[in-house]
Amino acid sequence: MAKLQASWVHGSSVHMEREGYFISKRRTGYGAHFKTHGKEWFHFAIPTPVILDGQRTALKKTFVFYKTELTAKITAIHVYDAGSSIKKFDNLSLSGDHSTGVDKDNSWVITPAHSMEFGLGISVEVDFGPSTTGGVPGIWFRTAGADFETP
Amino acid sequence: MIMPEYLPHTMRDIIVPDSVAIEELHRFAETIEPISAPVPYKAPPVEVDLSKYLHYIRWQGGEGCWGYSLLAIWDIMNEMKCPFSPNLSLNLGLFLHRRRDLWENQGGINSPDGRFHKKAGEKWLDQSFGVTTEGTEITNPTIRWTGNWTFEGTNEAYNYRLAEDIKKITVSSSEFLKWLANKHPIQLEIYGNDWGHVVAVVGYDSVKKTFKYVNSAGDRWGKDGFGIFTFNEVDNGKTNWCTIGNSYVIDIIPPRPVPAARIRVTTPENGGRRINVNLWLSVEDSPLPKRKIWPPCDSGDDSRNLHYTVRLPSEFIWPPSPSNRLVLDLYDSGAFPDSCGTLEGFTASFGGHIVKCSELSKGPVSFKACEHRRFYIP
Repeated sequence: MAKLQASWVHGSSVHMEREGYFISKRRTGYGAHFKTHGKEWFHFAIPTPVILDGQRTALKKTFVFYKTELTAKITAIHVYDAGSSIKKFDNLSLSGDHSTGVDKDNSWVITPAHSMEFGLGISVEVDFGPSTTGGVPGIWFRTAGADFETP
Repeated sequence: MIMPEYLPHTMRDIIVPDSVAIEELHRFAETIEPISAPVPYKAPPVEVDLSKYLHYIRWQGGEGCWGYSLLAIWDIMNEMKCPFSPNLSLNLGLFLHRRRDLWENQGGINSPDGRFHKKAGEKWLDQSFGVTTEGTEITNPTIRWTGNWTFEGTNEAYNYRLAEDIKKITVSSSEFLKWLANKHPIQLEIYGNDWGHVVAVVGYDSVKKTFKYVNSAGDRWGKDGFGIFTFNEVDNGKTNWCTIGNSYVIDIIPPRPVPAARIRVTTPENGGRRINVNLWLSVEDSPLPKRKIWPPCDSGDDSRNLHYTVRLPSEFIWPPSPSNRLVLDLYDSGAFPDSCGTLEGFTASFGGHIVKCSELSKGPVSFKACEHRRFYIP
């Protein structure tokens, strides 16, 4: 019978691809908060149990818990095994509060499951949208993780 | 991030006359052909005044007209593309101008982030590295200071770059009119018998047949810092006091919005000086030092008014709220007889989201000589 493993990191560990004064950022005990305009990439490094009980693990599912504000939306999720691309979920348009439990808009199944060799990376493209007078678009990242399976 | 080998030179008495930069500009202009204005898709308006996008009227002091006029047209284009962009600083421009020993022989310069910027064309560092902003780096034109790289400047300059080198345009009233109608202010060389200068043409009135330009001599020069050329003077290439030289336009990479504050202070018409007014920006209860944003020290600037946009302290987290307030400290030094003045505006903005100082909601607030006032957003 296959054994399931899961590994998660807190949202406060997420990294922006580009640093700059054009992003207002805040890390708290309950997540990381970013406010800006236009498109930006964010990256989670997930601790990866590559081998468990002498068996190589396979990635089955990835998760990113988030909550968007104003026009911000997630437009792509890319999944990496070190430098190798495992799966790309493009042309997404995900917004709202998906920060408290697993749902269809914050979890992505990897089919077929990918046998992991190195560290897992989950990259999130956020389109914050244009400037508005009503406020600055933003996103909260609460946590991210993945399900693995060993034979 | 100050490079140690520069330190012995930072206060060295180095003066390089403007004529060196203007001759450089002239030599560059001789290598390129003038370009024509894009064909307008509709008739140009009767009047265009891009000065409404120019808030900060610079005072150059001894030198730097070639740079201050460039920053005037760049400020206008930034404001049109990305309102509330910080005013640009000439710190690095003056640094390159005065410290030619650092780049002339090796054909470029290393920036503190490890990149080498090759000299190619006229505005080479403005394309590959960018420029810094006022408030982060107050330009100090009067003391004999060479400028330098700074940590905050290095981190922000990439947001403020030219898309390509400056472009020479045909000097004629019809071409100027088309460029201005096409939202391109114009950098213009002017000459006398033994002097050269550069100004920025920012508008026209086709009924009066005049162009409006901004000088870099503060707001007591001309009419609030602006002067007039007639269409005939431009077409004839001369006025009764100067010869018209080459003219240029720029294209910028539109900057991204950054959290910024816009501050407007006026001082008395009779003898008031904006350099009396000391300004610091900070985050309430932050342990970090307050950031001095005005004035440049040891300045001879006799301007009355300051209308100034600067980036917020980098530790500030947007948006301002009652538990996260932005603080403007104002102190009038009382150095001139008619010191005192009025704070007319203090606003924070990040990409169109604007938050104002609540204390100014009922109108401007006056301050007296030697008075320290503190204002908050919200």
